[in-house]
Amino acid sequence: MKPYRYIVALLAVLFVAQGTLAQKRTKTVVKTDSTTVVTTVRVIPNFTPKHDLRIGIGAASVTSIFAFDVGVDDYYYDFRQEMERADTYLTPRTFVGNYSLSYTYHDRRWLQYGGTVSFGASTRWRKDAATGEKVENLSRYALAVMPSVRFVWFYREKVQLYSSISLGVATDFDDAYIWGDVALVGCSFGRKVFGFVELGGGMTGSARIGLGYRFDAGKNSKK
Amino acid sequence: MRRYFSILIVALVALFTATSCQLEEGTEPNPNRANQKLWSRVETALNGQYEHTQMVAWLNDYMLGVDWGETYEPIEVSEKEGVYTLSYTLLGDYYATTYRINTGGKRLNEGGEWVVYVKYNSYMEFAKMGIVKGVVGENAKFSIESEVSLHTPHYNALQSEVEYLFNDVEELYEFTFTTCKGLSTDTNNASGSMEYVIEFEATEPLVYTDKTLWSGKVDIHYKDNVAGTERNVTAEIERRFVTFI
Repeated sequence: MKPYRYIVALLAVLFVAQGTLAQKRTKTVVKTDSTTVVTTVRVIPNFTPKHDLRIGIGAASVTSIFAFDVGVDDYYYDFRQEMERADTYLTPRTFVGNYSLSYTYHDRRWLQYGGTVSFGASTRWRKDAATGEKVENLSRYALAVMPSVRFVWFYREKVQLYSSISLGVATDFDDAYIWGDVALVGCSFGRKVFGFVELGGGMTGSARIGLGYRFDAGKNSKK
Repeated sequence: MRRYFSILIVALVALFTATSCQLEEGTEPNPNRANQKLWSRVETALNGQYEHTQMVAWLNDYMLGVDWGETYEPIEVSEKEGVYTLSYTLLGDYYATTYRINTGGKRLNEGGEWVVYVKYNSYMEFAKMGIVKGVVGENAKFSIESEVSLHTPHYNALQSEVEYLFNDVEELYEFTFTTCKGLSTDTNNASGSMEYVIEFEATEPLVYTDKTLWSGKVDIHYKDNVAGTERNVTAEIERRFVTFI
């Protein structure tokens, strides 16, 4: 993964965030006879619990290397097995993304909890050297189901900065493992329909980006 | 409007991030890969046989009073009742390789039939390597049958007729396997059965110069007993370079 992609993603976040942050300020102008006083008042409405649904896509991470068995396709074969595969070749192993679906209940201004399901895949085939036909599918898949907790450390109606942690079960459809996921820094921007960007590591990727939808859970509001 | 613009940017960045990420390079189709693998195994077996052959020839000349000087690595030799022990350490090897050769008190040119044992680690026991038979009246001809792997985990069995001479111009020994045939497989699988067999036979003499296979031609037959497939290839060696026919 080329680093400039992360920079592009970060710039996009900053671009969007600065616009939405600006909307949070209310300019109040107080005029007297001889002076003009300008103050900026931040308006913080009461908090209403919300349901938060997200769908995202993540870049490759160190976890991807393990989950997709990178580097093992031509090892651990004995001579006979190597001879069987001698007239074949391997296509590049291509990462096709970590896709995640999450639901959290935004219970308090600073706390969300719920769950995440993620699916990742990389594709690779062994092909016949003479005909180019696929003779073996070496694609790898990883599915994880993880309870999640999200800590919101900057809350505005349209912008939230947060960190999250998930821990659950991941499977490559052969074995199951205890695996997790961390978002060190995440940013969501938008009111009901929103975008989000996260940097972290784990089953959903090292950098994630996606769309979400949140809606009020009820009429009860909390501070 | 700004919101939709934001969403569009996010979607574009997401697509950009997700596409064309390559975790690992592919490999290239190589029509000679199987031949090269087969040849690698055969060459290893031949080189092992060559190493045995050198020791036998060294001892043969030693018994005739011919000194190889610096032509070969320093060899420590001792003798007791016709049983010679030769020990040497190849450059880069950690352990010494030791041969024990029971000559029965006869040189090869007297029709001697030697039984050769070898161990290539100090903590191993001697294993019977094979039989060497000399030709009466000839100083530099013998046959050698070996049935042990040297420095490899594979099972190799070879039979060779060997001639050697000292090249005065190059100041080195040349060994020629006038005939050579053999078999190579693995025996370390759990079932103990041979899952595959490589049989090979020299169709032109194999000439070793300066410890390197210089020329010759070898027919190789490979049989996969599990998949039931077979493969034949001829390796032709000219000036150390191998081509496959």
